[in-house]
Amino acid sequence: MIVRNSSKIAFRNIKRHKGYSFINVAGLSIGIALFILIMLFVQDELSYDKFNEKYDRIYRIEQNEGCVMPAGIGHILEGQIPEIQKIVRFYPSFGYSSLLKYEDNFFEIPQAVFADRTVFDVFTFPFILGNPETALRDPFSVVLTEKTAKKIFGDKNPVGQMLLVDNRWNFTVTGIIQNIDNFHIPIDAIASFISLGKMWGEESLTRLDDGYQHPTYFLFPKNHDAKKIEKKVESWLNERHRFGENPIFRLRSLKDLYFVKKKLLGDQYQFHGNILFIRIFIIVAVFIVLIACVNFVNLTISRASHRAKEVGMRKVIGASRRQLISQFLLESVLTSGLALIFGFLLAELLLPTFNRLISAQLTASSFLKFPYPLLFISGIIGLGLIAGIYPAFYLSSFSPQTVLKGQLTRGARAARLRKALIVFQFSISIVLIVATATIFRQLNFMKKADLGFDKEYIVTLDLNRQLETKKEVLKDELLKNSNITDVAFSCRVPGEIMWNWTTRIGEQTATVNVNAVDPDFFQTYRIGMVEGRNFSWEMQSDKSNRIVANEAAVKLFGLDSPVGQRVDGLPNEPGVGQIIGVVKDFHFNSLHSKINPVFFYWLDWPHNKVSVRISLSKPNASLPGIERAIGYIKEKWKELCPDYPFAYSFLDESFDKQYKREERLSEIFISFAALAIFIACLGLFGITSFMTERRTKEIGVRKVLGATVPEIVFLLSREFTKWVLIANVIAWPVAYLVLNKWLQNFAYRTPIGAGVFILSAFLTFVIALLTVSYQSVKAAVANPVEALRYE
Amino acid sequence: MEENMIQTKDLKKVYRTEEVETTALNNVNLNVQEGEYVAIMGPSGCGKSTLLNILGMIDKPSAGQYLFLGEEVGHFSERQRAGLRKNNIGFVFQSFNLIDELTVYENVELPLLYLGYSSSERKKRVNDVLEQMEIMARKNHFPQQLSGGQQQRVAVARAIVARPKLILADEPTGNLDSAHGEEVMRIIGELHEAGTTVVMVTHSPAYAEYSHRVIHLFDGHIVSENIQEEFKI
Repeated sequence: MIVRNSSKIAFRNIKRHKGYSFINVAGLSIGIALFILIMLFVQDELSYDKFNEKYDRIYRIEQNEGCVMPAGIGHILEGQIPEIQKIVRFYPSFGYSSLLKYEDNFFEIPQAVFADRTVFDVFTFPFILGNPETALRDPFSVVLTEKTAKKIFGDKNPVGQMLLVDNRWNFTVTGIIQNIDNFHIPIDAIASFISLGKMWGEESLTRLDDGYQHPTYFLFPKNHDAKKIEKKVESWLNERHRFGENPIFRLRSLKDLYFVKKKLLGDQYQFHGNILFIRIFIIVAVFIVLIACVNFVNLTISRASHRAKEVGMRKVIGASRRQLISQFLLESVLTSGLALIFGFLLAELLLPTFNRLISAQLTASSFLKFPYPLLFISGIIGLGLIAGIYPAFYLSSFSPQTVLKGQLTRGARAARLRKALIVFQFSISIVLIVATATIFRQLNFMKKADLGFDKEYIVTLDLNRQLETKKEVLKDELLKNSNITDVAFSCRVPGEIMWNWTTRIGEQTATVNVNAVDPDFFQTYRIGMVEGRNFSWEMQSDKSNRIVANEAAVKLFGLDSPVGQRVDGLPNEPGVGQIIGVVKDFHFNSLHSKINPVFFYWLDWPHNKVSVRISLSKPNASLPGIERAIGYIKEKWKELCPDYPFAYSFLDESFDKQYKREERLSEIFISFAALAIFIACLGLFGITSFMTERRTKEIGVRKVLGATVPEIVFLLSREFTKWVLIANVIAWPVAYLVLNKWLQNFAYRTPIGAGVFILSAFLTFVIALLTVSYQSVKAAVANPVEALRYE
Repeated sequence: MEENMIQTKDLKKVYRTEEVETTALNNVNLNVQEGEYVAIMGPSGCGKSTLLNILGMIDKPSAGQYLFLGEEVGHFSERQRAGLRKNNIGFVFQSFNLIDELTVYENVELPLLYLGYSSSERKKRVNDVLEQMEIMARKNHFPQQLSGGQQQRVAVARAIVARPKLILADEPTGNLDSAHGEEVMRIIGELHEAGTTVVMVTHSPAYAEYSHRVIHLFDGHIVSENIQEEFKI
């Protein structure tokens, strides 16, 4: 009964004091909406790989710095160690374009992988059509996900249909599986692993030395000792074969795969989450909800005088303090319940934007499933209690004889708390501003940094089988165009991951990156030589066993005179080579990592990329110039390989994709910071209006005594600016520590300059001042007679 | 001999701020018997309201004894005092102190809620008392929609709905014009006739005449007591 009475009061209060309720409910709703969105994201991240029924029995084998194995490892271990019940090898498409042809149409299926037939025994990929026992038994069979099947075949039954891969291999569709979401390996289609034997030669399935490109997984029994098996596997493998220098084998549980801290070679083709981001997101979400709670606390306390009479009267009538506390808590729970409803609607509304921001496909529906509604209800009660507990105790402490006489004195304690809370809100906002600014600066720094090569105006194309035999023709044809100055072939272009190889110079063994290029590569990218010479078209003997090293490689081996050095353990026959030149260090990859030591070879294969430099030095250099050049490339492409659709990308754009994560982070942080400031300002606005209202008489008297409007505005704004200043002082060291830690992620980083702090101070001052000034100007220009009469 | 409902012995109330100490009540000895109608008079700041607040257990004495129904309550906890209050005492204030967010009906119902009456009992009692106060027609109005006299009738209705033994009225007519003032005094008189003990603070000698006994306070002391030969009804 008392509950009903209290709810009535609560709702009538919400209705009557619309502005105040708006600030409370709006702030909380925004906070809750953001919280819901972030929790959706977190839940999605944490759900990776968990759909697998044998989740805790699956392990990946890793060797040294790589998570990709030669195919032979899976092969020789078969049936050798009793604890290994099943083995699955994958061959991810590794970033090559996967064009499938069905009838006369091409379909880009980027995540077509190869896997052993055991894949369906180990991982949980439910079939819609086909038999999991036999689907991948034969060479050239492929299982499609529902989405892929739909894309290629529409509503037709795809089982038994043929797909042409690379204009050469005919794959038969043998099954349809449900879409694979939230699996650390992106998969659109799975082809039988033994197909690779037919495509590359049977020995490629059993090779132990070469072809480090297969993520390999084991299934263990229910009760297993992973450490023990790991030792067993390692010694078994090392007894059978020499896997380079100091091979270390590790087993990593599927449970730890998605959030693997240190990414290994091969991990770049898989999905991985960053547990640090998740933690940061959760912390930020909680803080934003707290900011909204602070508004609630502050506004309720500020409005205490409006409620004082009610409190007094209820006490006189016989309400105990406990009953009053319950009443106020109920009110705040109701307010937060209302905020939850709006928060949900807002989250639903913002979801598409948020999905775009984090590149995800989250849906809110997962929150309607058990146990989330229960969690939300308890969350609302919890939130209501957190926001309401102090105001409840504060309001219920009023003594009736004073409040009923109208002598409610402003509690110094409450005022101090209110100020502290505002400072807290602004501190969080400032940390977010500094973070946003720093992320931007770092991003800008990385994008503008001198990479050691010229990434502008380079167009890259994917080489295909048809073009491979006509490489030189393509090059000659392209160079005929006056807008094209250079053309080079290479295995990898900047921004892509190169393969590792362990080599030896003299007594020293070390792992370096390797890249196969042609003699025009360095010129195309404008990379200068430090000493020695480049490969030369005139000297065919440079092919395959001559090496151009970068400075980092020279430093790694500690070579005083690198040119002429013999290198052992090379991947190509006869395994021996010689350094003929040294190029300047340049950033093959993003500025996250240091420049790796690289050996460049001149090999005719495997070339996957064509780099074309478009010249804009001529007077007619312009966008149409680029378009004309690309038009020309397309024309030649169509002539030389009509079977493949033309596709190209700009190197600077694909290189900058490496900073996608930071870009996303900066966008997310801008939104976070903006929301946090917005909510804090809502609160500040509310507080100012109440504080100004209370000073109405003072303002009136001051004006009567001759104070000018600017003096009054200054008087009223002074206090708030002081708070903002304190908030800055508190926030700066926190922001500095956190961001300094974040910047450690980058091998090359911009210092956290004083600029970002000054910016944050300036921004918060301006925003706070604008917020406050509306009320203070209004109060200052009011007619003093009105003010005094009001009192 | 009727029993003492209220008995104070050397009651003292001192207010302290950082710099000044103000004695609001000084050695007040007062007995009020059940069924009595006592008026307290005196100039502003003489301690009338303080005395009433202590009698109503809204405030605690600094020293001395206060016996309510023969029981010493000076040392009672907040909760004990709230319990005694809701079961025995009804308050009427000068400024009505109705809760703005509640309707007339809900305001009057409030004491019964805290006493834990059943819904049907509450309905009956509230309707009865609204009937008695002749404001039934206004039961769904909010306080701001009523005149001062009507508001005070609601306040009186709220004070008596739980049928308290004692009514404490703090200048109940202070905010009313004379016609409405008379009316409220008549109602209080009727309540007293029906057996309720009344202690009322007033500035008005005319209204004080409604009581059995007038106590004059000055500077925290009781300076005189007049027993009325014949009091108004």
